[in-house]
Amino acid sequence: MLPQKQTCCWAGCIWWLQPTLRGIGATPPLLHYVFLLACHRPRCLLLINSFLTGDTSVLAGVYGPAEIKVSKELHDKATIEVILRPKVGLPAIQEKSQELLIRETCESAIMGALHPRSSITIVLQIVSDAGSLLACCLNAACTALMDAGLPLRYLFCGVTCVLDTDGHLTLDPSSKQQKESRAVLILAIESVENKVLTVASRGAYSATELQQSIAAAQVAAQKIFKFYRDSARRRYSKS
Amino acid sequence: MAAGFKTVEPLEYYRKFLKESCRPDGRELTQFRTTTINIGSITTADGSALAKLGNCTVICGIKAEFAAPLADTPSKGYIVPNVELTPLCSSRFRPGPPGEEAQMASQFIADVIDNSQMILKEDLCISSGKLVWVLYCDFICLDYDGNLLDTCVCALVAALRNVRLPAVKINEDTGLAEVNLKTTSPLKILKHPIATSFAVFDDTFLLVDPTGEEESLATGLLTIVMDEDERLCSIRKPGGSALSPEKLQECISRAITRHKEVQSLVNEVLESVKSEK
Repeated sequence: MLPQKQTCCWAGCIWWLQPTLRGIGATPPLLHYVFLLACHRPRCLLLINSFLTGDTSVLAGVYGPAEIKVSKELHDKATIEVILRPKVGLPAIQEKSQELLIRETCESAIMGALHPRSSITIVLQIVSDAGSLLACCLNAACTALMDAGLPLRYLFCGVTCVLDTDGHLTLDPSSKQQKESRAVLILAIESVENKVLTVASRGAYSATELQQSIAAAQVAAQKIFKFYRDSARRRYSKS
Repeated sequence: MAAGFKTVEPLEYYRKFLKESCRPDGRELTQFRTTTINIGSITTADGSALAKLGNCTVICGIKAEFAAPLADTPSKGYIVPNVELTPLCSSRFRPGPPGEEAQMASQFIADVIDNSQMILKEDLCISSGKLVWVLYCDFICLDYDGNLLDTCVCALVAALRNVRLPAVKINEDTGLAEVNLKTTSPLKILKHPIATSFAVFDDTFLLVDPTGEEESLATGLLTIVMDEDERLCSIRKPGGSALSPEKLQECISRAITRHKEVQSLVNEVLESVKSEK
């Protein structure tokens, strides 16, 4: 007998403004997070506009578990779709490969077996890109999943590391730093065991540099997870 | 009996083998399938190679064409990789526009070429601002049996080393290009990136060079591209099981030894091709 389809439907929506990690290691940490949950409320949308200061921001929406075309249906787990919409124009091959990366990261976090033969769609709309875009998309996707209340194995977050020509490591680069760098690493870290979930990179680097980046990303991840927690607490303590 | 067990409970079947640190096809966990490379298989192409890892077969043909350079990079040529996964190679693929996996592979190869700096794009310039070479690298998968990326990268490196570009002179009076097919020169290849793929099984076992079956059962995949200076040109780990930094280091060490194996194989084949002529 095939597992029963679930009829209830969750929807979550997140506006994620990339928190800055540039101050990691420095005291006091230079964190200026702007984080708004449930921005499908028009009140929040107004707030967001005033907060936009040119930093990277991505709007994420999660829809599902919902009905799915028979051709895409998987009998033992949910079909997860990620749609990444660029700011202007149509999605190109670059967006497609990023979509794939985000999808596979989400797939490992979502307990898909709980929702067989249904679809979970994550829509990411790029609002502004000031560097670290892919990491920002991962963060937005995870918080949106969290907001939707989908059962997850663990939370995950994306961290971008850049290495310049002297081998100096910077976290959460601006687009200018990203362009001038020798190598860019995008790492996704999971929250339970703090292990590496996803790695994508551009440029060449040594194994030691990779290990250094992972260590830095793991520290940064703790800050992001704390931020997730704080935001969720703020959201549920209100209203 | 074993065949029946395998069809009904493929995962359990694999676990029985992995417990004894071996695989159903007789390999150890860190062992690659037999790698075969044939260079210069397509005579009509400017460079070509056929790479085989076990059953997984990819043929790569490189065709050089003239093109006008982009306005912002007047002295750079370009390289356009394209991977085709036809219904011929596996029942998983349907005819029509390239699917997600083919697009991902094409993008991956393009990234490897860019990241490793294996060819200086300036070397492909004929006349700055007017004429450059475009190298169309077409990969056709003939038999899909896992580990497509490793096979493609092997084929790419071998085919690029086989490319011979004719000498081109621009005629001052007419402004037209004159191709001299008699004098040809090879490409200057600075780095030889080689990919090594792993499959993660049940979050614990690391299997090198997964077959198609292993890939579909695995909980995670990882591809590491390494050049001869032990620098990483690309790592692709799209989700799946989370890995600790120590496990990643293990994979990198395996990738270093794999690079040496493939590098010497490519050199050997090139030597034998030369001596035949």
